Amino acid sequence: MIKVAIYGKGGIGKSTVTSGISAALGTRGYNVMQLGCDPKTDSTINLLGGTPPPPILQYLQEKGRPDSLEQIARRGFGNVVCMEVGGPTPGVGCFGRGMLTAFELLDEMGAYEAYQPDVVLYDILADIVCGGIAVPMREGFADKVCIVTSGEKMALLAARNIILALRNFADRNYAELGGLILNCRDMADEVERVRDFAAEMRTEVVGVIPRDTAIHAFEEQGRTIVEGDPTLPTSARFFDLAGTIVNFAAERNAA
Amino acid sequence: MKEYHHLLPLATGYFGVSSALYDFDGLVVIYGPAGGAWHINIEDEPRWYRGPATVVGAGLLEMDVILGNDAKFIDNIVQTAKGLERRFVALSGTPISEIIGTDLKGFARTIEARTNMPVFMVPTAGSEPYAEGASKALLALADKFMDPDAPKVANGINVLGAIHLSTGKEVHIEPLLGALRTGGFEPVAVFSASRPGQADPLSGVRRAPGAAVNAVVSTSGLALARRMFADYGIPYAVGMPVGRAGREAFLALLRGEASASDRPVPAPDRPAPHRHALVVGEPVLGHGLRHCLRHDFGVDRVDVVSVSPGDALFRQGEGCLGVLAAREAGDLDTDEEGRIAELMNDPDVDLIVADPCYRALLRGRAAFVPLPHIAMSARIHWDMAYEYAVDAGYDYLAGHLLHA
Repeated sequence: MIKVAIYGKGGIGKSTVTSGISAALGTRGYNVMQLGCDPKTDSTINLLGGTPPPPILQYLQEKGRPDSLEQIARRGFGNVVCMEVGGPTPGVGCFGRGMLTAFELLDEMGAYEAYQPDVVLYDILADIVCGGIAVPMREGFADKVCIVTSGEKMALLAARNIILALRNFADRNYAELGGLILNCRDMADEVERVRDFAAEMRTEVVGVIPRDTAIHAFEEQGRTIVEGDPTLPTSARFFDLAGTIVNFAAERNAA
Repeated sequence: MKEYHHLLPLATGYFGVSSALYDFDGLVVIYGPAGGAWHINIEDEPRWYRGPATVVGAGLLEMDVILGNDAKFIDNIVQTAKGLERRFVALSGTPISEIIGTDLKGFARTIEARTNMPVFMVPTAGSEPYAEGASKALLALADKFMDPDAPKVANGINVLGAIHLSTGKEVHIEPLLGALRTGGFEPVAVFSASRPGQADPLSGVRRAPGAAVNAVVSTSGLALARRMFADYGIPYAVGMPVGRAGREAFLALLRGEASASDRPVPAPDRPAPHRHALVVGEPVLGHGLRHCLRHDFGVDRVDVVSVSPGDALFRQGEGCLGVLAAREAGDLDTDEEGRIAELMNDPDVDLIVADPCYRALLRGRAAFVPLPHIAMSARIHWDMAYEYAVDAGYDYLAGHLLHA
């Protein structure tokens, strides 16, 4: 099993990228679990035809601790186990703490033993604005962190902050940096810009997703591009990324 | 909602951590607000007056919490630990770390890297009973220090759960240790007390896996006993032998003669003039007192009120040789003052054994035998003369019951 946390600037396409990877892995026969970590609960909707699963924190508040994992999980395209942390109404509460509660609940309920996933993907909202948002990086949760970015300045700044946070915590045995995933915005020299940034930060670009209107067209239907048309060149990029994630697991097992 | 008019709420999780680790020359850091360790040291930790500071607070201020000044906290701990030359550092969580999700496990790794000292985290939240906090601390201590290759000690025995909040001063368990020796056992480690003559107070902890059997004397030792059976195959018996009959029954359990502990006990030569007793306190000791009152003093009915959760006592796991306790109809788990007062003032109850603080709830004429529970009365009754274990416990109770 390999557990990968996907971080990146708000609106950069983390959920699109994460769901595309999950769909590609599921298509290839891997057991995948995707956990959306955003109060908007929209990480997994494109694996589920547009309908998200019951958010874990809302379930806890309204019904108490679930009796079984089925009450908070749904199977999506590619048999991917889809879950959403959920979270407070905008403007109140503490999402960071909520995320920790949801992660601990899954641990206590034996989610990883029950579903036996080959790959777990945590899709995490925006920047690491507080200690709670860094929870997936901590020991026992993610093994690797991948950062979705474009070539835009603000996206790269966010990526830099996330990498620095990871390196700050190196002696706490936090997750390792897996690399950058470039989600193109069609800037001039975008791939070079991001590759230069990666070199500066002593990491690498592990995948490039081109700007493609087909992605958005299929998302309008509640599907990923991988589900919509796996033969498209952009879908092939997701299959490549899926292969990279599987290699993380192989490297880890070898180590 | 629980109401307290005469009593204070019992100590919680991080008090238990302090109690379990205090004697091992470590530095226990409570991740709480400025002044947060004060009530532990001044109220609940009578040993603080008699030795070097072992428990310190993180001294968090509002802006430390808001801005997550981890570096400042870690620097302070590193400096303090180095300055005091402690044997380990333990970080214990409170409602603050629980609410803001502080990564104490990560802190422990950083502090360990910077001090080259053993550092571990005890996952308390501050809302759990003290006995649970102590239980978690003992597990963490075992994970860090026990030597799986410790030499085997024939008839070696560890005493688990002897924390000061439950069993009081170390002197109160000495009669038990003496009875174990007389019974053919050789004490290897006492959790949690360093043994006389040991230069390294942790040496018992390190050697504990070499013991042949574990004696669990409070609920705080149960999880460790189960872990030690799983990891090292050491069986365990649960109970606090109070009085003479209790001593014999517990030794029989430890020898694996569970049926012997159920043998009929002859009627006592000098029965006490009581028919219905109520025991209030820690569950393992409470059940031990019942055994003694019934078999050594002929008290027919004895109800046990456990003020910390006692359910785990009756979930016998693999490796358990027996438990010197049985659930009876009149027993209850509660720390609610109103409920305990009702039971104490039941006209049928003619004898109460409890911490002296509970005397304030007594309106009737039942005889009251004071038996301090440090988790309730802390330093108030720390120096009181009392005993409970084996024959010393019999003598103490006889002094109250037969000469009243």
